Amino acid sequence: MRLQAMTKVVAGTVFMAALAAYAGMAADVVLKPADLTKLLPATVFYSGQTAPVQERNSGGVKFSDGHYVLAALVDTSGYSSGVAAKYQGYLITEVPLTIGGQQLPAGAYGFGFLEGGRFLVTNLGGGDVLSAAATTDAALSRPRPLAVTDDPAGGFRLYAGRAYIVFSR
Amino acid sequence: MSTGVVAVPVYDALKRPITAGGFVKSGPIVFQNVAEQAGLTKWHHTAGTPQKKLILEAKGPGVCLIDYDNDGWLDIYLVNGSTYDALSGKSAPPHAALFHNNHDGTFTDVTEKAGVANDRWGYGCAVADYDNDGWPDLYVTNYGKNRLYRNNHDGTFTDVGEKAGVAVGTWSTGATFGDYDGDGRLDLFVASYAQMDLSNPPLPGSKAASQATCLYRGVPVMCGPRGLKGERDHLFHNNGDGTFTDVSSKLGVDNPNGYYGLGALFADVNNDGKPDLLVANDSTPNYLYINKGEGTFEDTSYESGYALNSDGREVANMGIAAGDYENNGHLSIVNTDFADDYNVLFENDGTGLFTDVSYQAGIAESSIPFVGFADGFLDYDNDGWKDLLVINGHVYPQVDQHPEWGQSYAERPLLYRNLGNGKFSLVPAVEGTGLAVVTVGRGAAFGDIFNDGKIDVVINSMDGVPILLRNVNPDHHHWVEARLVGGVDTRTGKASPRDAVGATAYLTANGMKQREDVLSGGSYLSSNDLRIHFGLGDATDAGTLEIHWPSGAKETVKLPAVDRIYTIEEGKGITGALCAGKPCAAQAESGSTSGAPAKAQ
Repeated sequence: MRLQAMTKVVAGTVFMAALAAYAGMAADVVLKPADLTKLLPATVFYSGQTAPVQERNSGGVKFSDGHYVLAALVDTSGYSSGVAAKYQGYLITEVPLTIGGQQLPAGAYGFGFLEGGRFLVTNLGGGDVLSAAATTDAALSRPRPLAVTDDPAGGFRLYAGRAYIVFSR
Repeated sequence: MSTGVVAVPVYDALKRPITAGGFVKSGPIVFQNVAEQAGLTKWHHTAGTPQKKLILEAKGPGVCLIDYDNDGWLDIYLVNGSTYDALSGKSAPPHAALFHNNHDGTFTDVTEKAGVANDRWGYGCAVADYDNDGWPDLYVTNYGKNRLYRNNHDGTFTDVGEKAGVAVGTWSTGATFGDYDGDGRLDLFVASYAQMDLSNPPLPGSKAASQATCLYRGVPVMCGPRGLKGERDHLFHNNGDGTFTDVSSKLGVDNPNGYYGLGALFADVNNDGKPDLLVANDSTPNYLYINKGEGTFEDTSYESGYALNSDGREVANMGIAAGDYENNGHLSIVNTDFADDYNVLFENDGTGLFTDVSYQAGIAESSIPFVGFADGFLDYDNDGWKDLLVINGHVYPQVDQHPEWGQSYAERPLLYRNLGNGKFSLVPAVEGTGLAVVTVGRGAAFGDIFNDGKIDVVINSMDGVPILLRNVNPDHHHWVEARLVGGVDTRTGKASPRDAVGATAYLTANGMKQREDVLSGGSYLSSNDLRIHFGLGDATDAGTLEIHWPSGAKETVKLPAVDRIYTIEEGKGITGALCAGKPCAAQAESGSTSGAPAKAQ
């Protein structure tokens, strides 16, 4: 029975992929740091200051229609901790996103995963734009400072360590 | 995110930050600071300005233990910094210091005679016999050109750094020797921190600091390291003719990512007999380069679990301690780091895969308020279980102006006792003792400085005098030590480095099997005693030592008696012994002074 069910799932997946290829559609693709070397700016502007982007800690999605959403951590400070909390990374999205049931228009933003399990998006002047609850993935093996992955329930996850939010179009 | 979230300040009953307080009136006295009696406080470290305007002024200094005259007693080399006036020739530069051990608890400054003043802006040092002549040499890292002090065998050294091709000339920090390609000659790895042009210094508001935030908790401080450009690391292959060849780029260990290198250590973390390379990077991921043999490395930093802590955070790594704290034959690692984050214990599964067990082991929470620099595993009570000592000191003097932060510029050390079950407990700091010394600690070297079987620690402090923590723990446990001397494996013709750096030894005694490694470098920009040390508890049988020589030879030696420092030569067994620092019979009673190897494999 289990083998039959698996066979059906595999066959279904193959059929859908073939259908997408026939229709000329590309699937959404999760991007890793190596995919972003030519896409990410070396430095970004935020709240009166330019800071280097951490290419090693970047990720994103290339949607099937060719639009991008990119995220990367930023060298926000030396050993500073409190000041950096609100602005840890940079988010660029070419399309509106849904995060925690809220709409985020296309644009460039700062973001941070804050103490207490909050995810905060700010505009480039440091003003709050969106706040959503972050989830902790305690079972995550070998977390990274930033990563983008598929979300099993649909959409994508933006991770910072073990904390993540889900975003989708 | 180089640190965790801002921690809740912790104060003691007298409202002092826990980093400079928390002392108890009575309890076990483990260390006493005997630096003044020893004559070390005549020397003083200086680096830049008291305000620490540039990050250049906040790193360093290291310290090395080196028996430079081969008299069987450890001497002390303290690295100095410098000043901007000295760099521009407006004032005499501060100098490093070599203190000769007088065998009576005192030391004599022999720097000038020995010719090791350095007089550049020094950061770290490492000790090894790179030319296999039987005399330890000394490498000193600087902002500017580094020094390779070759031992002349007469109490003096000659700087051959430029001639040997290892002067570098940027901003070097941690250094470590290891024979990565198994040719019997020690190679040299030199970590580097950041690019720093003093004609265009990264001061707040300057162009050089335009990409760096120069604030700590909203208060103006020195800029960096983030926002500064990282500097190249260097691996120098020993050519065997007094010169080295830079093979860093060829072997992929040149810091292509521009991280900020501090601690560095060659150590075999996957038990294949070949030294791997660990680099502790400040505010960026650590490097672990696994030695694949045939002179190549594989970067396993992320896969191994050594790059980040268990939260996936890049922490401000400073020092590296390596030790088999579980007595399971695996070399685990502790990296120190910044305040608002915990020191990370990377437990090794024996294959070079690490798990962050800091909280489970009990070393995490207590370390959060502290800025850790040097660290080392040491069996301070000779019970056969390796304990852990961490040396602390903040980088921002400004923290003293903000008592509400619960931090201090000068901090006390943290000693953790190994409970023998994978956990540690913090040893209380008794007032007036070495654990209650509050200093801006940086480098520290661990070793049996008084040849009494107890591991002591010498600390080099920022803008201060040295601290000499003499181990006075009131235990009467037995111990054994060994100075290993490499030779040639007669089966293969392969040679070990003369000072046996890279050797691993397992002592079976007192119902347990302990591991010790001969390592050059590590801690924080420092170098420890090259002799291996084992605590034996109450056992009176010194046990059997199984030595894995760098040549690949394995040798088993029955140690005839406890409380001795043996000299063991590859293929020859025991060739000497010291009791209380003086030559003595290898046996406890009368008997032969040479213990032939019990079994050579």
